[in-house]
Amino acid sequence: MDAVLEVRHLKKTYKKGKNLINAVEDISFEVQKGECLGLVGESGSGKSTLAKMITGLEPADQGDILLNGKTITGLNGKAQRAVYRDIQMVFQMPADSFNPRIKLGEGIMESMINQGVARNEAKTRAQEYLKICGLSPEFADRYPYQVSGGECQRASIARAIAINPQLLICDEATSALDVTVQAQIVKLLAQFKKKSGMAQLMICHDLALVQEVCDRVLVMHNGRVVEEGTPDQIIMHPREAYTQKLIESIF
Amino acid sequence: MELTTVKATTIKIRAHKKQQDRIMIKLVIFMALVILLLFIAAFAAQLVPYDPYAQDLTIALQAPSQAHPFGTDRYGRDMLSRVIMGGQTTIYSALLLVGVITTFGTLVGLFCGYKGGKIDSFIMRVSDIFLAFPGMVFAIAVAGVLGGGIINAVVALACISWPKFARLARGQVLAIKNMPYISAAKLSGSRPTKIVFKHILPNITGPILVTATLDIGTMMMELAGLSFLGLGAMPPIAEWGSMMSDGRSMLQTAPWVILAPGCAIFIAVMLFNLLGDTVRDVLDPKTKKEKFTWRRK
Repeated sequence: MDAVLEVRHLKKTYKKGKNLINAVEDISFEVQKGECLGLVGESGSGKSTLAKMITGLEPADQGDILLNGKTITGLNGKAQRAVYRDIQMVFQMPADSFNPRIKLGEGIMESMINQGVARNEAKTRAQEYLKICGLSPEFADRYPYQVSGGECQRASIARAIAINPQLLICDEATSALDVTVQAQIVKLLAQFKKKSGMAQLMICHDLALVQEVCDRVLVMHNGRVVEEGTPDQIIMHPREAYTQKLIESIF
Repeated sequence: MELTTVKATTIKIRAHKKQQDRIMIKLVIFMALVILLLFIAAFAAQLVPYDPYAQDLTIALQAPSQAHPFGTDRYGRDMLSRVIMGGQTTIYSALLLVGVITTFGTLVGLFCGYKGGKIDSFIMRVSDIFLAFPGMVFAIAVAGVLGGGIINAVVALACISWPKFARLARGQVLAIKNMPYISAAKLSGSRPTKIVFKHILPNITGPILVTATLDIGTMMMELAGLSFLGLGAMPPIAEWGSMMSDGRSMLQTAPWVILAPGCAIFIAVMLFNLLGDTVRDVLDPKTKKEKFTWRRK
């Protein structure tokens, strides 16, 4: 097995007035090819900060992030943009993750065009990906406010997979959606994992969802990984007191 | 009970729609009037009944009559022709000025807001310095240093007016810089310039456009003010401010000389301000949001 993503001793501290908040404290983990790693924890446990650091939207204070064995921490400009060929992300709020002034299709095409794909081809490919995600091609000509949250999230997934990344990060991708739509989206993501061997990092606070799709789960608490294992292990036999509490609060 | 709620909602929706319609009608009317004004100013040379610069001392300071509806000034020049010709100078200088400060201020604001850090603080402190001076006094000083002339007056006023737009644009950029769609654009591998001009700028044009339209009237007044003080348009160029200045000694004997350009300024400024107000009503983010929810349903 080879690791697509490797995170080593990552640290991030925010300053809030005089207080220092340790958002992420010394976290290390790996995501293998074709694996879906779940990251659970209450809000404020540093999950989203971790996602932002992996995608380079926030600089890391300490530690290394490796993509296919190459470090991607502290990059900027062109080198950082090159990383985005391999890492994509699906955001929490579907409606906010599309520019309200730009059609969905245009948003999906953007990454392809930036990679030098011709406009016409990008357009047909965008429509194909919309179809794969269960949306008809007409959605390419709609604005974000003209579609529902679930449809928007599908478009968001279409955008993320359009350039066939090696790693897909889903930052609470389903938490803003209702249960039936959630199930559809999760199914869709599982399909991609199977088909293209894409590694996935699912950031989530819904343990039931994690149990369904993830191969391995990390439980985060106050910026640290407190437990690691398969979903069944963690839900049936939680070792840590915090994990027990987390599970009790749901079931 | 339920029926009354439904009824109330229907009435509310109807009232809302009516209000929207009224705003649109207002917008069309004011837009048409402003376009008419711009049209008159643009074709002033063709529209004037007399040569606005031809002097004829035999008919100096004549009261309004059939031949000269606005009377004549102390050199016997037809006031109507001069007001029309002056409109060209005043209105287009004001538009040029607003165009320059809007473009420049917005670009500076976009840059500062997106870039952040030390360079942002530095430029914003510079703009603070410009804002710290009383505007008109500073403009007079600049115009005084540069000398007379309408272009110099535009430069002087541009110097003191750009920070307003820079701050506005910067604030708007800061508000949407952290939206997920900007992160998504970054993840698409877009360059910063593309992100700024494709994703940020279109989302902040509303408030900037409103401020710019509302500013046209103010700028027109300030330009006329500088000309009135003799720091703007130089004689014999017809300009409303300098025409008023010419006529102020004759306020009691020949009031039309000062009243004609005065009324012209009043009407033009009022029109642009009314248009600005209406544009704000149309582009107001709150009413816009409401419109979107209607459409979604």
